[in-house]
Amino acid sequence: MTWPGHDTSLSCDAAHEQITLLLYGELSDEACHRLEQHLASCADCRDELEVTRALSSAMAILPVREPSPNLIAQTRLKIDEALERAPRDSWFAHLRRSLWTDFRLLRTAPLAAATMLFAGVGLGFAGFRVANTPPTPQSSPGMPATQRIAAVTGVKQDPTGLVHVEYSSLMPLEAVGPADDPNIRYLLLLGTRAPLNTSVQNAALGLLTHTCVGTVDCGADDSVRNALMVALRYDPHSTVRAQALSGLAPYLTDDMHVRDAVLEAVLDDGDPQVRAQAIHMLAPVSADSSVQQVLQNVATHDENPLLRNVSRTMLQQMPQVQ
Amino acid sequence: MGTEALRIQPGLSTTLPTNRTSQTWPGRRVVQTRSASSMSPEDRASETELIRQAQKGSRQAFDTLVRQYDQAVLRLALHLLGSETDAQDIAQEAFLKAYRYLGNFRFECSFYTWIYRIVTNLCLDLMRRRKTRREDPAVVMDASGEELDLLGMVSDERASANPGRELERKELGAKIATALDKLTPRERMVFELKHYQGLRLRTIGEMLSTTEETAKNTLFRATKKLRASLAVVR
Repeated sequence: MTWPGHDTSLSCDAAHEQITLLLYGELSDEACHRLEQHLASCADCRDELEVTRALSSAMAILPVREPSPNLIAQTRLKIDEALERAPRDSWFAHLRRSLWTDFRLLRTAPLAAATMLFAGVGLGFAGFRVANTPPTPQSSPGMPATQRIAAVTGVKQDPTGLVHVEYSSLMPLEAVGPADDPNIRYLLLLGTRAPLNTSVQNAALGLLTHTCVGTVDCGADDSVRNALMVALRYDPHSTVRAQALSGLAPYLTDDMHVRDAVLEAVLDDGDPQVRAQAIHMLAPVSADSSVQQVLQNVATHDENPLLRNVSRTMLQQMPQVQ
Repeated sequence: MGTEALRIQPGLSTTLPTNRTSQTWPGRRVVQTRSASSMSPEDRASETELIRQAQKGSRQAFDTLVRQYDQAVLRLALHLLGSETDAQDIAQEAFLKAYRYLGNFRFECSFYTWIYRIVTNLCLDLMRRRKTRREDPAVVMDASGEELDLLGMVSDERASANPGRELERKELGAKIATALDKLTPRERMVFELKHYQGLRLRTIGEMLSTTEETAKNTLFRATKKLRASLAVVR
């Protein structure tokens, strides 16, 4: 209910919900301000705040206790024993299970079964032929089999727009094709994981970012986005992480996993430049309460004065950004 | 609306907390485990390496992962289920599942979120089975099968000097345990993860394979039910 003369931007029902969020630290600064204004003029909601707080205090009577060392030791023993008895689900078990499922389906639909069987055999044979065709240097290759590629050793784009990816299997090879060619993209994805060559990783990430992100092809397939996330989270080279960060920008507004990864970079990345870049990237999503909290955290507690300053500036600019 | 029942601490301030991001209520813990956001890049890289080795079949690497997370898993299951035996079984089953299906882990979320997702699912299954069988939640067993004194768990050092106050705390503790048991398993889980384990609603949504909004609504429902239950019994 809303009483005459109250702040009309917030109903009492909404205020009750926000009080819970406030007590659990999940309310944005802006919402908190509106709630504060509402509480100033609403005795009912002040009462609600008091009661909700009292509930929180009362629930503390059942505290979370650490498990006893005895329990931990016993549990570890039981887990060890169970692991000894249960081997990991092997690829063979996966295959067997999937074949069994197929077989059961086949039993219920004999005609479809026969068709699928013939189609499967035909496709399998065709796939086998394709997989065994050696990739042709200086031409767009057939999809190379993963196990035959040892490493991607060079990535560059020529003035005509074609991408050259050097990779080695038994001998160094090169594949050439447009950046949106699926085979080239596959090799670029492998290139993002080249642990010994930062320039290859950077070039691969850059090309994937500029030629793929935001296109329909990439939207249907998460592989590029996943490669960028892995590079941002786990790559030891800051230049690679920075490149991955740029590539993730288009996903930031709609993909919560990406947003979380960028927030983690703001808090944890070892390179202040990468952290600053991540902070700047957050401008389009600054209405998110988690984003605001992270910025607030950095602005007040971070040991790096430059980052404190950047976060503070971002927070000050927020009304304009929104 | 019977809100007097909850006013166990007179003189509560009605001003808003100044530091909203780090609210910590008495008895509520902010999880100190190796959550994805609290790990340094070095720790994260070394954990990634451990996971990769475990995925390749290294039992030693998997054992190290178990040692990193078993305490947190036990703590959650123990508080949620109130039974050392059940908590132990859940931890064992969770790590066994993780071991079997580690090959499916694609680094799209942190290992912490992944293992918690397994644990919460197992706990939810058990809580649903308990509800169906109408098992008595107040009977709490330890690992050796002995019955634990639930009310003993709510005593604290401050109260021990005052028997009257101690008794009052024990009574309230029993009422709270009953009120928590009236929640649906999912409401109980969201409340546990938010109130007692101190996780973000977004993380909770991710663990329970739902949205932050749904987790938020479930939390509201849980707090409303708790208030109603506690107001009636007091």
